Amino acid sequence: MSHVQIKETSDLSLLQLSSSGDRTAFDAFVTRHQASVFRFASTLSRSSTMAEEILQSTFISAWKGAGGFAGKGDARSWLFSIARNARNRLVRRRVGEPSTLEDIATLGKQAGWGGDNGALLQSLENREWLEKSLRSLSDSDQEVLLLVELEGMTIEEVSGCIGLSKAATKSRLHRARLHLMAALKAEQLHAG
Amino acid sequence: MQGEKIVANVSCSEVLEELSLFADGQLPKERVKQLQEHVLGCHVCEQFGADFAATVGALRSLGKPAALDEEIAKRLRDALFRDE
Repeated sequence: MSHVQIKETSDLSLLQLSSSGDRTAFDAFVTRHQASVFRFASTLSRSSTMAEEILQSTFISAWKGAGGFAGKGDARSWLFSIARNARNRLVRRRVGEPSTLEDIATLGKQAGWGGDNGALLQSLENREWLEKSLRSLSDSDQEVLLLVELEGMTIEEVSGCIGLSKAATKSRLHRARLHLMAALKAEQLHAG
Repeated sequence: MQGEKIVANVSCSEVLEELSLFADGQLPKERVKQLQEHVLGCHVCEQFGADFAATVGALRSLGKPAALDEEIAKRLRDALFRDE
């Protein structure tokens, strides 16, 4: 398969070819998604060694299980659910619902609702603070923000990946965004 | 929230609750209109809504991931096709 052909080939076709042992097709699938999976793994890992382990484990599972994908849903959703499981196996704990859910008003206040958020815009311009604040969030907040805001996946795709209903995924996304605002605010206070 | 208002039959709490659905274009037109009317008459929600949108925008602007380090990519291929 030429470079141009590979570029135009869908994930589904690449996985179908991979399932019959086509290494070139799977290599193309890996090349297409490796940076995103590594960012996901790095953000949710405690070390670069663990991130690389998750990366390898994800694509080894995908290579072995390519035949099982069969086009049910979105390939990225399938791939990130494998990455998520790999990560959870390594840290030996489940990335689930937070044990307690604050009510939205409390969460809003933490995020600056009804108060002075004057410094927020300034902190948003600082990429380092933004990335640090993202990393300070819970695993479940980080993964939904990574998948929706950075990977551009739809609610439906993310819902399939993390195993929640669409309504619950929307709710988790909203809370994660408010948590990020609160973390940015805290970062600004800490720095200032 | 102290100073919570009801504008256009919508409370500030409702705006806070529905902010993501509003920002993501997932509310019915009629509801969008009600929330817009509230925001026009409520400085607190106008400001917080702008901050919220700016936060989401800044996060999205982090953009695509950096290309994978060549050594890591090589080790990945080695691990993948080790037994082939």
